[in-house]
Amino acid sequence: MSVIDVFGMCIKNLVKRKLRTLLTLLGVMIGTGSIILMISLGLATDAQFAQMIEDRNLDMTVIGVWQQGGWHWTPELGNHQVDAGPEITDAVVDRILRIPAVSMATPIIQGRLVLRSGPYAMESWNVTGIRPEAMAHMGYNVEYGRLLQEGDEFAAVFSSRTERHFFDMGGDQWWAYRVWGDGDRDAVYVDVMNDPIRMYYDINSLFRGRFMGEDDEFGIGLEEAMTPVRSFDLEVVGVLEHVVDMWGWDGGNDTIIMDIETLQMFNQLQTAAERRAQEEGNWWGGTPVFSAIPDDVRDAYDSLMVRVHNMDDTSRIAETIRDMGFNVSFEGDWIEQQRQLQAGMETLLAAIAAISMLVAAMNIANTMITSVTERTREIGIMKVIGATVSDVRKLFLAEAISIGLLGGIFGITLALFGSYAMNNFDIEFLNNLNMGVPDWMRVGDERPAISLITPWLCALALAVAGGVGIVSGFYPAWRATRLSALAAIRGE
Amino acid sequence: MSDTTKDAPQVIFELQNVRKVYKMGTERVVALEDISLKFEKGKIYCLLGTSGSGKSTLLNLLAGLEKPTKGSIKFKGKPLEKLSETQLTLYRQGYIGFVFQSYNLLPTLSALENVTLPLIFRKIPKRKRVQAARKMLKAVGLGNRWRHKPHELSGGQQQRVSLARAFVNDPQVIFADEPTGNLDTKTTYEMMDMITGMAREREQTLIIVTHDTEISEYADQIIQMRDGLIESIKDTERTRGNEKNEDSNNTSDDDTSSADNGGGI
Repeated sequence: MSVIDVFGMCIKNLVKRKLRTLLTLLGVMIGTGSIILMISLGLATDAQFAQMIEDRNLDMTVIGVWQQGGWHWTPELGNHQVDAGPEITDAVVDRILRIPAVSMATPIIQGRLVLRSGPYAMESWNVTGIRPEAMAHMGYNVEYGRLLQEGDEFAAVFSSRTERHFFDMGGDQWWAYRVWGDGDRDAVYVDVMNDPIRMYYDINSLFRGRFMGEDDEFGIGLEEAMTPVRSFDLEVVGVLEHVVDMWGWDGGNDTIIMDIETLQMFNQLQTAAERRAQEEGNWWGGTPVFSAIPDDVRDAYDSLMVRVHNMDDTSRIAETIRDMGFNVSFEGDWIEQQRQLQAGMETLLAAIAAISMLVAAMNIANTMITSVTERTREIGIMKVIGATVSDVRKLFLAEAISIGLLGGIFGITLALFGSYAMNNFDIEFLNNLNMGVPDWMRVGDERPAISLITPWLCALALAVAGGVGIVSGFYPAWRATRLSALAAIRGE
Repeated sequence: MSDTTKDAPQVIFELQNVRKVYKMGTERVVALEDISLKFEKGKIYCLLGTSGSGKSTLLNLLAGLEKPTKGSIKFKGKPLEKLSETQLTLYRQGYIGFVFQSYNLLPTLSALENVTLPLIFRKIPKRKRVQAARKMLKAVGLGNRWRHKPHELSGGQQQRVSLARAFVNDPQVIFADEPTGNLDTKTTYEMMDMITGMAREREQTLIIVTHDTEISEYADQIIQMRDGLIESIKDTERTRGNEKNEDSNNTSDDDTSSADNGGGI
């Protein structure tokens, strides 16, 4: 029999038993519909997070890596101390760079700088050393100027607010600013891209003159104090865009980012100067002469920034690095956890929906078995007239598949209506079904879709419904093929 | 017709020492004791006997619906008992037509669809099979009733649909198992005339199973059975079938019209 004939016959048989067919269809419809709806909640959640990532411009491909150790808090253990893990060395950086999914990695060190431009100065405790060639890969964007690039040494990129930290050393707010970090933030004294800026490693010496009250004329006293201090020219090559993270925090806009080797050298000079000062009992200022770099300065880095090619790899790579003994974090950490939490919920919901599908499957099988029993005679006649075993099997399988597919189509329709209702009726109960981005985190006021039905979900559901039909149809079809043609005709 | 048939009768079925035993629980029932027979092409046979005589069993064996316990059944020289189930199905598709006592039409299908059914199984394209089925329905006088479902037709009409279905794939052998068992006397004769007429016209072998001696008068040969054995084989004068046969041969156009009138039965 050709496929068309098989289905033609099968439709006739289904139509003949309208009520029974309809009831079976309803079962499949409810099963399919509820599975689609449950999955649609998860899809909507994913879409909401994706939208948030886009709205907030989150770069989820950068992973931060730290040495383990110190105090930690977890829900299970509370506040507890963790033994120090391995240090971040060049070997670690190389190892991470060899992971295929990783496109770039750079060690990071933290440091502090004193900068001066004419009568204005600033002290930053928020200096990040990075491999200049890596900066372009770490999700930084400049507002103007450029990022660091290979070969940059005494060059830096400022964050959007860093320039405001310059204060007037002759003014009266400098002390408060330095200590409390609370100055006239709107005043911008220095054109950082164009004015000459020098950086000092011996921080305390900068203020020595003023603090010790040696000279009331600030400028002269300062000049004297500064003269022997080792300093370098610093070129600011760019200023970054203002950055707000997913929690709305914008505290990351006061940093200076520069070449890691230069900063390293600076840190070492500074350490040496401080030691010297301590040895001399001079707590307020390092000796203003060049100090030799001590041998015992550790060569490990403070942290590591890792960039992966693809956002989907982020959590996997983060896990890999965590297994190497490091602490990791990335911007989407929370989203990832949230998603996993939801995945659990969704699986549970889908499992409940799957039960109704199971019931539907048994319903199909039951209907088909009844149908085989009822049509024993017909089957026998067909066999005598020339239906092969495979014809008979096809006929009954086709009926089961048709019920499955038709039920699937009804189910999709049902789910589309349900989804529409969920997305368009602002009802407390429906709102509670939303497992996605919480209201306070959302950008914009629009109520997000809490159910999302994609074409592939429909296709999948249809395939599942059809598959359930086939599976439920196997046994009845097998029974039909086993019927003796003779007994069937004789049974009058 | 049938010069060749008479000169060199072609053997359609040849049975040699066929025995059939059914197992009913622990009991064994011998349906056919030991049968050796020949059926020739283009002849009409009647298997006559009471119920339990083994005539239906013999028919089932010939149709390949059952296998003999012992012995051999050859269809045109090929032993049926050696064919697989699928091959037997193909054998029925290609060479056999059936007429049953209870018509055995599929209730969900129209008369036309019922007639096309054997052709559907043979994967004949739709246009061709509908054409063939219409022609057959016309031949049995139901040209204008092709749309009706079986339950909308009278017994005689249903049996004519089943006749059309048996003849539609132009089989070499027609089996008729008590074809008139459910019909009244008048319809019985009409039906018998029609079935034997059509078989002769097409030079098909017709094997009728019946317990009705009057029907046996349509046959060329009557095989009387009893308790699983052949009691007698008798060639007849073909008193009934002959005239009718000639009649329908001469006026084959009339056949349709007279049958159309019969449609009202």
